[in-house]
Amino acid sequence: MDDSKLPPATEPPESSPEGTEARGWDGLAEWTGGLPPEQVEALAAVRELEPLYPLLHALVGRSPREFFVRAAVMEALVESARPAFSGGDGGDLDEVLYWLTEPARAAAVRALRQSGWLDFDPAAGHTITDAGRWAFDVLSFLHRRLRESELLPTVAGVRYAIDIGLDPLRHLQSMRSRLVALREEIDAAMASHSEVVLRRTAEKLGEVLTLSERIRAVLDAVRLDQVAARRVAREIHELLSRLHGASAALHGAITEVGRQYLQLTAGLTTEQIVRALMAKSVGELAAVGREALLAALAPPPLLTVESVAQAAELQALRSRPEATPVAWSEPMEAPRAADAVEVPAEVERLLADLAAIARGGEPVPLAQLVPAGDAGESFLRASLLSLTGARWAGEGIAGRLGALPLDVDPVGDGWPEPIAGAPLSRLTPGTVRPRGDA
Amino acid sequence: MDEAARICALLLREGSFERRALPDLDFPEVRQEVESRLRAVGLVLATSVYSEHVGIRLSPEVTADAAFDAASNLGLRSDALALLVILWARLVLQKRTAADTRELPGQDSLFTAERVAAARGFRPRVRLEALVREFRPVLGGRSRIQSLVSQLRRLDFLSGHGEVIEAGPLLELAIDGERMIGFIRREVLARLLEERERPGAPAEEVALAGLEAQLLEVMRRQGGTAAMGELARATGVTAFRLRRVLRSLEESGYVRRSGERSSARYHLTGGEG
Repeated sequence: MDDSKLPPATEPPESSPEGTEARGWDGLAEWTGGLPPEQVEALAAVRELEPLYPLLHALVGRSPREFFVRAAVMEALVESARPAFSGGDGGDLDEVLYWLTEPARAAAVRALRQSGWLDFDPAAGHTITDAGRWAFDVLSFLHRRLRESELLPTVAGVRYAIDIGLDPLRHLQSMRSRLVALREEIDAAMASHSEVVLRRTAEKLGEVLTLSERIRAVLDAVRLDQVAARRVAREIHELLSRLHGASAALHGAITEVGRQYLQLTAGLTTEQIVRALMAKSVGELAAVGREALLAALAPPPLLTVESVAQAAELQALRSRPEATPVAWSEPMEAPRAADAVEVPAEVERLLADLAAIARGGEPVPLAQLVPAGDAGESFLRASLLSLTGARWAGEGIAGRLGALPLDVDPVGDGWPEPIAGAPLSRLTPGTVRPRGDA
Repeated sequence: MDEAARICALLLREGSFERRALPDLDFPEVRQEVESRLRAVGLVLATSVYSEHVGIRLSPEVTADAAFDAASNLGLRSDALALLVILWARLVLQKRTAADTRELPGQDSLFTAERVAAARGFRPRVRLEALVREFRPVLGGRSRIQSLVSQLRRLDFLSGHGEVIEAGPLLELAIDGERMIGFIRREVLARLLEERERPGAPAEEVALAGLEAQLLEVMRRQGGTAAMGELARATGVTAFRLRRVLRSLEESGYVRRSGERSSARYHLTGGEG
């Protein structure tokens, strides 16, 4: 990479009227009413963080985009494990940072060089400085902390994303997954019946619940138009409520488990003992066990030749009934249903009458066709008439009725009228006529 | 068969036996005869005031052989020994405390006689799930811990079924309780002190905590009791400063004082030394 072609780094210019020195440690006296900052306990305590300032300053840049690029470039360079990175087209930098286009790549490298994280030697190219490796260590540490169940950085992340106008969806999803994991941990702790595990979980839950007000406040700041983020925020609200409920159950379980143990001599508790033992390795515990173990005598197997021989003889002489041979034979053939559908005589009669009408070609009044036999048969005939001539009627009796070329024509609005001399007293007037006979 | 021979045979066959099933052992002459016969074959009778069982152990003459290792003799590997220590702390220590204090967890309204009987019958238990959750990083996963528990049950160190683990006869009879109590108290105390020494604790408090541990160690080395002068010589700390630390230990229950002024002596409380 040709250094002369590098674009200017994105460092903010020192345009403030305040000088750099005045804004440093010594300048603090202006803000403490002239009191030297070394004498202020709170300020003296953070003096050791001074080396972090250039690190954070160089890392943050002027936008989240610059922050992401610089952190990723630094991690990629260190993880590539190369002693030096040659510049120019097709050089090491192009190879390792292939995913970054120019001029962003050159700008990022330049910023890292200006921060003292990279060094440039015309003969060797870019090399990572000690400060650069330290920066990498700090980034790794932050990665690890964020991957652990620390909730506070996520809360701050959501707030930051909202403040700079980004969608906080991913931060919220991360927060939700941590709360879900905590909920699962609570369930597991309740099932463990272990005072140590219960107390540890309660402690973790307590930390989360102390943050709940801050979490709820930051959730309320999610904008209405960020629909997905609002949905996740609602779920987090619900999770927090459930965790509040779980807290009471957890403390109840701790009390219950604690009641099962006595306060041991000298004021020690079983929980303290278990915690101390948990901190030991197998080797340390085994060494104590080996020292404390007395030579107990394991009962020897009391088997004699005679007893074995007697048991064997008994086994050999045991009467065993002959097994009855199984007689295999073909089973009886299963009864089969008749192929033909049995049609009641009443229906056969109706089918014959309808077939006669179809053949005769003349319409027949319903009052003549429907009444037959008794009232039951007449009602059956009337009800089956609706299938007559309906081609969709299917198979069997319905199919046979539907296949007949007949139409049923009721008269009027279908209201039944009295009929005389028949098993039925009233019937809808109308006719059954061969199809096509209008 | 005489009673002593019957008891010896029972113990040899079973390894350990319920004390109430051997009432004749309470007769001094029978007990003496049993011990004598066992001694003749390199064994000793194993009893404990905290146990309802009697068992047998190899005699100190036999185990004094440098080649002898009790753990190897029983086929116990490191993880089984580690689990033995953990379960001793969780089960035997509780039972011993109940027997000493005549108290039971959650029961304090019984009459004295009932309390004694109840304390004697108290059987602390621990669930396998609790062990897994607490000691998975140390002992391995659930199946590993379960197989160790099975091994210790076969050897009579543990009893109970399935998830519920109780102490077996050998957990009391085949473990040197005084050594275990000493270890546990030292470890717990060290841990408590470590917690107090975390950054942020005032320097004086840290120094006092260190002195407490030193004092307890000195007293343990001297058989659990020491006079102020002895403690001052051993620690190189002035009596004025020691008195303050000893008062704190006394209030915490680690130390008991007897006598006044120049005849005052400090003793480690029960279980130590």
